[in-house]
Amino acid sequence: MPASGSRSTMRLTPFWAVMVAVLCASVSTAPGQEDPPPIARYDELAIYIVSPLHFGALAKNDGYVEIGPNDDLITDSNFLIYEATYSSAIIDVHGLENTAVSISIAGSISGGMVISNFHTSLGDPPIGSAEGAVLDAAGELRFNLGARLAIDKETASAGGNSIPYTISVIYE
Amino acid sequence: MKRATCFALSIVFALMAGNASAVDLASTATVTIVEGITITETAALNFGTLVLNNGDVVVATNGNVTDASSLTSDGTSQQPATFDVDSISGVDLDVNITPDAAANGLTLGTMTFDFEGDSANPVTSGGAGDVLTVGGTLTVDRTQASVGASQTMGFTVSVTFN
Repeated sequence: MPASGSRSTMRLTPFWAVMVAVLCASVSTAPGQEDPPPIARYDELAIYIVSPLHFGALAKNDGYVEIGPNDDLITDSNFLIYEATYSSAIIDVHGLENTAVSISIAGSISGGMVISNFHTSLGDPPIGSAEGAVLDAAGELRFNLGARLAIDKETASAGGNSIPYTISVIYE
Repeated sequence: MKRATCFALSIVFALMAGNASAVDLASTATVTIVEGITITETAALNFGTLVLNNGDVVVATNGNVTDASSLTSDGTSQQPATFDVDSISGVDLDVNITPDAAANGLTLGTMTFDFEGDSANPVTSGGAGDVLTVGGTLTVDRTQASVGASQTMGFTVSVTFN
């Protein structure tokens, strides 16, 4: 019936208007804007590696090294450390101010090495608002990250190596 | 029908909003792997054939034997243990030797080592093929030891980066 069709159109129009406004607002505050507002505001979640996770120089033997979130050594029970130049990662999360987030971290197996058992300065992941994973009034959250790196001497290669891991952040 | 369309569109936008509220970042940890340390035993520590009596027998890293209690019945096989150690040339290493607990009246006591002329930590690796020699003191308790060939006492050799 035309009447009811007309009413439906009237309801839909404000909905589209709101969505366009929301999308425009997101674009106007996207990173890389030439004229950022005086006070930083991040509508969309973003993760930045301020400082990478580094395990230093380790011997090509079987075993593992575990680094804490504060540049601290948790264990090297297999005496792998050749140069103790390890350092925890520093991670920044940007998003909506005063908003809780959930953070999870997934390791991987790569080139005879396994990265796992992540530790953050907020607690062991997955972490949420109960552990203090809340963006502050500027929409920012910084945490440190450590992990365990296991080595299989039969398949690991000498030299510089990179081991992938993935950080996932979602609004609670 | 149009209400259904509107509802479907709402779901689509809700899903879009959900995607915008989550983010994944693939990063990498870094490590430098260096060649490790390998130890291979090339000769076993051997105290020879001893009589069942109380006393100590010392086998030094240079092969000299001290037997104050005259326990040795046949000393032809007495020798220190030797190991080949491969590592990185020029790095400092620590050598530690830990005997197992006493068993069957036989106690492996003070252990000594020689690493290419050095007998105290740290020692310096020459790269591949360094020779580590290990000696020790065996104490026999006649009240608990028994007669028999090839009785073994364990010990652990650890070579680590200094």
